[in-house]
Amino acid sequence: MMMAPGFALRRLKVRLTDGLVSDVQDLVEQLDLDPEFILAPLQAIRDHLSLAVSSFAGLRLSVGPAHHPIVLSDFASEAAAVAVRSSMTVPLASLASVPTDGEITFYAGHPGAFVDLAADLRFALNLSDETLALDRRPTPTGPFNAVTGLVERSAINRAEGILIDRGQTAAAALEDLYRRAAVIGSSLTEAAESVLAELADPGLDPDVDPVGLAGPRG
Amino acid sequence: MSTDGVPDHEAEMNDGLDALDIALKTSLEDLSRLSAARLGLEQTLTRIAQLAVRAIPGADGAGLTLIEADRADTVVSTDPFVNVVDAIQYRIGQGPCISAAAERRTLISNSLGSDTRWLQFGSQVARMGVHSVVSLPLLTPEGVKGSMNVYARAKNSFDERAAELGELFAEPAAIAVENAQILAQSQRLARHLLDVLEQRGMVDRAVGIVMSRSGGTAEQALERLRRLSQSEHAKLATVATRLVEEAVRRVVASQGEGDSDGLPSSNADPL
Repeated sequence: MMMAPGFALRRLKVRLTDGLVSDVQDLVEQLDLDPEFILAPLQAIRDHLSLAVSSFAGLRLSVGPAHHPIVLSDFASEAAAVAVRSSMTVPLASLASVPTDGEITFYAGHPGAFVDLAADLRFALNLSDETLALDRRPTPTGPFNAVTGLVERSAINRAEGILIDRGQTAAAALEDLYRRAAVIGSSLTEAAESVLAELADPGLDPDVDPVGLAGPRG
Repeated sequence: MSTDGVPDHEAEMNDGLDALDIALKTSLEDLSRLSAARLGLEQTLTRIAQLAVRAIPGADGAGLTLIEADRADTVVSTDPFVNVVDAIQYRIGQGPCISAAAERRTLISNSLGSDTRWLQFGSQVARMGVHSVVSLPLLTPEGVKGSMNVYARAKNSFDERAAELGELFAEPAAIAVENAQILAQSQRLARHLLDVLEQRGMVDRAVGIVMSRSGGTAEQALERLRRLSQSEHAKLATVATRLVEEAVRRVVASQGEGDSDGLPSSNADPL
């Protein structure tokens, strides 16, 4: 029994850009993790969608609160990114076992490129049109192959550490930063940087064992 | 002659066709109501296989096999004998499922025991009393995801119509598999990124604690933590987490002992 010929197997592996790979390496460097921990699923998504959607241009994954997210952007090229004509956005909360704010948006160069896939995914995930939205995100702006928000997130977390050492709980430390931002009319990141700037830098005090059991100063 | 003027034997044929059409119709209706979100991929594929058996005349069982990294594995089946039959072909490396996936076309056999395409496989399953099969590749733009196999114990059970009906179910199965893979990789990417960010967050908080205690720069504080992790043969994130948790416990304990600074004692997770 013969059928019409099926699809040819096209193992098209579009290489991730050096800039993005470098950012991911920096991201995991401190943690003794293999960059493939992030790059492997990213490459797999790109492989799947490059074949499922002929004009697939790239994706943008945003995690964390809207005012200071970490954003991972992966586009085939800057030209592809600026030529985007359609998008499909999936909230991370609708993906099982990803309990966080954030979303993943897929982009393509042709209008309506994700209509069929969106219909299939809405069916698979039992989502409404509003939740899994088409063309909610406008043409992306740069950077197009990078992980951004890390410097800001580091500043906030370090400022939290300083405030914890000064006697605040973790939650209170974060609230303190929000209050500072409100008082000085700045962003959370700027408030964090003001906490970091408050620390003098006389150099290391060799008599201080900052990671021992001595506890906080002052 | 029946009351509407149709000869009785034709009426009987129509009744038979109606029964088959009803089975097909209800199977397709049930297929349209499937939602993988409620069932999960395995249950969805099992349900698709069950509906295919109901819709294809003569079918006794069906199984779905996925191919990943050049390995084939029957993931769902409607009857235990299907698992046994599929296991035989994967063990000996020949059979209609393997051929259908490799050739990317639907294959039918109505006498497996004498089918020269798969002599070894056919003779083994014929001895089990399984004589007919329709094997359909699960095709997506990315390639062959696997195959769906529909078996019958009787000989000469399947024809072109059976193959056409099978293809009605193989397509949604392939789509379900592909969607699941896209979603699974998206989940994996998001979870892994969150995991990394949580660990980095702990390291940065520990850096802040060390900066506060020693007055040094962030780089100096990070270097101290690295040396500690090396001396303890522990990961940096582990050392950092311990430091942060100890600091937080100290704060909570001091507040519990009647510290009067009025700070909230929430234990909400840090950013």
